[in-house]
Amino acid sequence: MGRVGALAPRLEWEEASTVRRIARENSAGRQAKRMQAISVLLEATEFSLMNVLAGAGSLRLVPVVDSAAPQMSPLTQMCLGGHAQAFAKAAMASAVPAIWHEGDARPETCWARRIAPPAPRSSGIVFPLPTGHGGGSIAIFSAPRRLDDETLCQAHLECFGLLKPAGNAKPAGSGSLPALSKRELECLKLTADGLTSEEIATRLGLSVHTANQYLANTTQKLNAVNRMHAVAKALRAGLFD
Amino acid sequence: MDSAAGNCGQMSIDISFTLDQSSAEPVLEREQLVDLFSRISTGIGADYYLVIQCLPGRANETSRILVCNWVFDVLESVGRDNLARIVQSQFSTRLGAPAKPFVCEDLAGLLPERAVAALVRNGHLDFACQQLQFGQARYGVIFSSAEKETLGSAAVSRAQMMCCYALSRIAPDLYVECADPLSERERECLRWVSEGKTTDEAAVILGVSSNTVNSYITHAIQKLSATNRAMAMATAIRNGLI
Repeated sequence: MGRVGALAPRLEWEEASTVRRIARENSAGRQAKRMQAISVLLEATEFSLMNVLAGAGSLRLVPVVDSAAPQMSPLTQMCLGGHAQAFAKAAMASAVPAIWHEGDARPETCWARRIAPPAPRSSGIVFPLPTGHGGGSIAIFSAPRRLDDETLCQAHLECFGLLKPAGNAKPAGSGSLPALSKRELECLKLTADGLTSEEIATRLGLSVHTANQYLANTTQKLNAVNRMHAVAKALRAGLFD
Repeated sequence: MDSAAGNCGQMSIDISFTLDQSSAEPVLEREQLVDLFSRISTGIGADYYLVIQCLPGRANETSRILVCNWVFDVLESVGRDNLARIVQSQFSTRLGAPAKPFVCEDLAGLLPERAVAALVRNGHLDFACQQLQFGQARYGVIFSSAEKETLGSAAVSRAQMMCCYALSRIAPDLYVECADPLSERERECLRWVSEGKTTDEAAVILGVSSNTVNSYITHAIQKLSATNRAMAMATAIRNGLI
């Protein structure tokens, strides 16, 4: 990985993006290994990690890690299929894991809730990993054979460990939002708390022009149409609370 | 396996409860919740537990204690508002993040002196705090122990996961709905605002006049105790209303 420092030559744009891509792939590799380990714990066959991007009223699933990578496993295809919206909604509806299976066999764990199968004659479990408000990620495993309370809890905790720590909690490689500077985030937070530009400027000891500039930057970085949209996007993505 | 999840030391925490065979989706009544939290506390070496529900946008009542085994005197001395403050502070972790136990002295900057003194006097020296939110319900869970440095991160992280499961399944009568929930139209207007639409654009989308949209937004602002539409929108998103 390129080292940034006074002595290292400045990377050309192309080299820099290659470095970023390799970094993403490497961390995707680490995530895949960890998912494999969780899969073994649950005695499941396939696994898939997806980001859930929340818009207003709709959810979008973006695959990140797949047990059949670089192909798309049948599990991922099933979840992205015709009932993707309903599946995503059901998965994120609660913080508790959701299972689906054929027939009425009562699972060992009393904590998981039951949801409609995304495809017939299949079984699986999905662990919701909420990060932003309404959005986050889901970790899906097909045909788990070991589902007692302890294992469930353990697996769920491990799944949370797949996400990048603190700050931006999205799994690497999600192609997600660029980082906002500390000042930009502060201005956004204060806007969400109901302050006007003048009040933000006074609070942070800036001029009104500067405060507006920070907010304009966030709007642009988050690909939003105005600052309200920027606040909403940042909240939903979990950039701040 | 990652040590953040790890094992919970010598004691294992039993989180089973009697499954109500007649219902597909079991709920926990108050007694069962109390029993469960007692077992979880004991399992991690905590002496006390407290579960608080934080309610959005209500003028007089900002939080409500769901279950706890604290002595009443301490509760009164510390006060619900200060407890809510702990839950919303940086000492509190979110779901899935590793637990961050802390000691009473760390609260010195956050709470008034008499509250901290009351905690110390009554044997609340070591703490672990977690914030949980599912949809519109927002909870804080505080474990405390009479001895410092007894709450370990790994054990508490697991316990916090179990608390999350337990709270997701509480009976409807234990949970308080937020007062004056938004009407469908008010919700729609706020949703469009959160998509970056102006009042006029929302009016076109909804097929009503701009005045009507403004009036819906004004009502939403009042109901959510906000100062302007940005704050109303943020409050609505934070509380799972849109």
